[in-house]
Amino acid sequence: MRVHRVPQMHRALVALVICLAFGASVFAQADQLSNVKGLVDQARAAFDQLDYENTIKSLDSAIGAIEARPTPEAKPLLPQAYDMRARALFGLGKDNDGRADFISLARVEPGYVLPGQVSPKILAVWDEVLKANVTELRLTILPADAEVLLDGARVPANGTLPIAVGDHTLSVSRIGYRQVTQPFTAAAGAATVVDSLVLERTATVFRFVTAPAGVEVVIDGISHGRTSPGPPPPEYAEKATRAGVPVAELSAVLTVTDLPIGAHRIEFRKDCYVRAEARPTVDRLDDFVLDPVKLEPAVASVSVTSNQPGTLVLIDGLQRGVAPMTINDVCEGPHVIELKSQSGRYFQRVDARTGAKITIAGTLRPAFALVSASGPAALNTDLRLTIEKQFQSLQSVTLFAPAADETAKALSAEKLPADWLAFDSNKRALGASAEVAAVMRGDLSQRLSRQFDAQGIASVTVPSAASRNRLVVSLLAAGSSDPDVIELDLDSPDATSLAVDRLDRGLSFFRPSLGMTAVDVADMEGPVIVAVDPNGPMAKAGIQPGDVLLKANSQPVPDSAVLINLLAGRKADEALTLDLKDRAGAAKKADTTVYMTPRLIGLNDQSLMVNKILVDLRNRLQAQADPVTDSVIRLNLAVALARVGNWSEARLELQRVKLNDGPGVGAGTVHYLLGLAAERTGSLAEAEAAWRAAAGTTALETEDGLPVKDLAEARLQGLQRRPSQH
Amino acid sequence: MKQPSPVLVAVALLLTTIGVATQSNEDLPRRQYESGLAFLKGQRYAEAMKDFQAIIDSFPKSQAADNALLQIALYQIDIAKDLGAAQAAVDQLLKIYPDTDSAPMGYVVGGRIAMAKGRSAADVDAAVASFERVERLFPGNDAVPAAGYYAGEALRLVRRHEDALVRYRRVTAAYPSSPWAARANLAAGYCLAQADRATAALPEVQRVRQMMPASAEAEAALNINSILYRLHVRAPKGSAYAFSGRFIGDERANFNDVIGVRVDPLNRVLLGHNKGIAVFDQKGALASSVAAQDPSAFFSDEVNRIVFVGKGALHTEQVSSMPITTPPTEPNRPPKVVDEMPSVVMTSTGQRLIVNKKAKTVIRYDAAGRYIGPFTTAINTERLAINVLDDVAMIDKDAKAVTILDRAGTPLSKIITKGANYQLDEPVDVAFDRLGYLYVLDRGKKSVFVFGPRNRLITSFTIDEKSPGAFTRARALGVDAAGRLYIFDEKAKRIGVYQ
Repeated sequence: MRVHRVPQMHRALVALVICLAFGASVFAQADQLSNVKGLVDQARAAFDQLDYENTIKSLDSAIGAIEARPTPEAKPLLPQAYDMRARALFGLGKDNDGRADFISLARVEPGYVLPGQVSPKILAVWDEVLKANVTELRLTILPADAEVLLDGARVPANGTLPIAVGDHTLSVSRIGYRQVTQPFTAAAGAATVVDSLVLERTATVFRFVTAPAGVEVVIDGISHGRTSPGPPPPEYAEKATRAGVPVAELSAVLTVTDLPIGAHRIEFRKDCYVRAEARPTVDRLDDFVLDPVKLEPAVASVSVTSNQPGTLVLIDGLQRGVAPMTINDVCEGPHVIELKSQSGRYFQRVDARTGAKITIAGTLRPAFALVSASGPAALNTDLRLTIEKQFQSLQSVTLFAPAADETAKALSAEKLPADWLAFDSNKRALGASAEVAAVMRGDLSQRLSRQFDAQGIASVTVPSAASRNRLVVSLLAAGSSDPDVIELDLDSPDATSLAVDRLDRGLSFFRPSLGMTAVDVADMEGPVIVAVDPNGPMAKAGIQPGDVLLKANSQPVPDSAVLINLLAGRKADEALTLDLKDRAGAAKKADTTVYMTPRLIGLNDQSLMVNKILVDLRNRLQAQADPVTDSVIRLNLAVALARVGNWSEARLELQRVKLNDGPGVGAGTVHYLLGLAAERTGSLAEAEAAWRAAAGTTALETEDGLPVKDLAEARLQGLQRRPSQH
Repeated sequence: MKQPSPVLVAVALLLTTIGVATQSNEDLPRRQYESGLAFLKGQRYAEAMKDFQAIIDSFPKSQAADNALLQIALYQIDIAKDLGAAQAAVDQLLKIYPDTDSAPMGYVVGGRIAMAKGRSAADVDAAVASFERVERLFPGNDAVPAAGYYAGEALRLVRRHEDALVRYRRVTAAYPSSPWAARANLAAGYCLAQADRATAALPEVQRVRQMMPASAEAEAALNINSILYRLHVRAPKGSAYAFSGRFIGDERANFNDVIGVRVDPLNRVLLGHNKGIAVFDQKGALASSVAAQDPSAFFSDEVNRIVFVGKGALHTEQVSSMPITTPPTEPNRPPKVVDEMPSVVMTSTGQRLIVNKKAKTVIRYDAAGRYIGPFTTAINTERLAINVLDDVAMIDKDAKAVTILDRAGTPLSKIITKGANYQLDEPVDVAFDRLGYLYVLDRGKKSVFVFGPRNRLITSFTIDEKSPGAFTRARALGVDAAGRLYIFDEKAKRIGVYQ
């Protein structure tokens, strides 16, 4: 076997090549460590088999790699590598090279002790090398917990340690003290003493530990960061126990320096926790370690019930469950509690206080999502929020403003400008709204309502720059193409009250009746009966046109208004005793009963907020009702649908209505409306049949409306005038 | 700290100044407008017009300017009856302020002016077009029901009752709680009565009392239904009228030399006699009197002043006297003073129709007494009555009949001496009620005959000579808003009230 002697220069070249190979980031740091370890292991195996050539070869590569890239993980391998190579070199008789490696070893690790059995010869060389290259350093530094770095490596602040002969740099530092950096030269044979190095105090130091972590520390109004998750150093365990804080909850230490002398206010803040505060006074530059600061949770409990089963509960937009439910971790502060179902929405803003038990009994109401605002509003004003606030006292419906970015996104997806639903108080389309066809508006109202989980949508417009406080709100029920418009004057609270009253005006579906028509006549003592329903209770009681009503249940009835009031609170089948006089002036008495007659909104009544009525009626249909009530609700719903241009759905609803024939709103009314719906949907034959049926009844268009007989006959005449289509 | 830009500061200051100025600029005209409205309410029209004109002249860009113009237009058409001035105000309003709150009502007034000018088919079309424009241009405006109502009125005034009914019902269906719906209900009642569907009118009119109780319209509804009830529910099975037991003045009243009885729009009973005109309130108590020497006829004018005819002139209560003359028949001769004027009525446009007894003509004069022209000729009449359509009924003494002419003087129809179920003997007075029913007082028959559409006799009424309230020598008749009859009997020298 040929033995090569690798000169020092040659080794350096090898190291350079390896360095390039490793340093070119071909290997990651982990790979380097792994390779070096592999080389050292390889060398160890060769060394144990006394194969010194391969030992040296492997160690040349390993040492070259470590010296080229002395990572903290690789560096500890260097002393044993030098040691092993030195002994291998001695084994091959290359004493000078072995001595050189011992010198390198002593410089790298002056306190190194040759392990295992060592020949006296090598031990003598090693001792000689130590004498020439290693001496002692004695340190005494205050404060004792200062960080002491000798040539960048941390060493104890007090004690004696071996160091290599030559130039060194001692650096001592600690938070709150001025750092000291001191170069010195260690000479062989004599200890170097650094005695009583006292650092100069320059600042106070505060150390905080909190439970839980993540607490913001604000000193004198300035945030100094948040505590990180723990654990803190072990010495805090006792403090934590003393403070009654579980150690596991403690954060790491947050250190704050540079607090000047004087009184300070330290706040500990974290969402959902009660703030804590400390007011220390700094009278000297020193270290201050506070006991662990424990923050108590700041939460309220919110119990939610709803008038509808399956109602979703959301807090600040996040779904929390289904009502009824209690949420015990609602953080202190303002929140929006929302309840939502398919037929309505309820929202309430609450200001949660720690420990409070908030009860919300939500009554879900049909809701209109305010999706757009247009016109020359004041700068930085979201008119939708203004409207939400103005209408917050509404009892029958809800107007809410979804997040602005959500509405912007929704409008953008539909390629709609902000004024796509802008109308003035005269219901004139403004701006881009004029370009939106009714059919398209109906489709949009359907889609956007669904998108915002609402029963309808709304917009707000400032029609004129001359009066920016005059706003017009347009409402569209889902599927509606014909908006309701309401004007508001922000300078006039009365205008808002009127608008609220108008929107909250309730519908009643029945009214008490006696089955007759009475009119007021001058110079008469009471209302004169001019028509009697032949099948009604009055006819059965013998009342005839021309009779004058004087009293009901012994109460005088001077005019029809009194009669209406008297009937207003009555229930079905309630008995009434009437005093009357006939045409000839003869007194007569009659016992009769009250019955309930259906009510119906006017198909053409422009004073109705028909979109609001539509969502209201759809909501009411969700509740169980008796068949007659259900029919009357559907009948009203059909008229509302027809009003907003949705005749096909109106027709479907009408087909489900079952009412008796008779005077007032009844089967004849339904026939007439079915005729209109059939005509609108192109079924003229069906329309004709329906109108013929209506023309044979005594029904009215609405409770006080025109006879459908007249209306149906006029329609039939109209049909006859268009032979080409009929 | 960053300082605001000087330019921004300047703009902000400017805006603040403008804001203050705007507020001040609006405040003054608004107060002047309110002052004008107060004057209007107090019937101090000259002051009101002065206020409104001042707003237009001094604050033409204020928010009150369009309202002021509208008020001027309304005054000109309703009070001054100056159609030219009304038209000018409307034109100015629609030209300068086409997008203001007043513009829709401007179109309504424009339509009314068209109707007031004439009632030809073209006039009606122009008026209806103007009304329809309101809904088309301002679909949600409060003027829409007003326009709908006046569209019905335009058709009603030309007797297109069914068409008018459709318009009125459109208003009542679409705006049931609007005051215009109440007026439409009342007008629909008129149309139904004229279409011989009086019983259908009753519930329609009654609806006004339910929808707008305690309003003027509710009072009107009560009056209309009272008429309909008497004529169509109480009659024909029973007598439409009975003596109320009341007399105007009191039971001991002893009226001599009576020339006539009228009930004016305020429902005051006016009694003309040789010493003047006595004015009685609705309860029959004497409220005031106007002194006059031998007046021959009288009426209550646009602003409810008593105007009487006497000594060849038209005298307005405490204001003025205007000679009534006819143009000379020959050149260079002075106008001829009209001596005997036994009756006078006022049209809806403010014209005065005066009977020239000697000439057997009825002559048309304007409100200032200026001669306009003959209304009708060759008729021996001493009694005229006029209805809401400006139809004029006049007793033809020679024929013992009643001739009815339209507002142009064109004969419409005639109630002949003998008709189905009636015979006139000595008709002495005529009166219309607000539904257009014509009441003929027949001295010879000691009866009142009530004629309805197409001059069909609705009912007649008489009282047995020996019963209280009998009118054996009836001379004059008045009909109030509720259809009550006020009959002056020369024998009793009292005015009995029949209801």
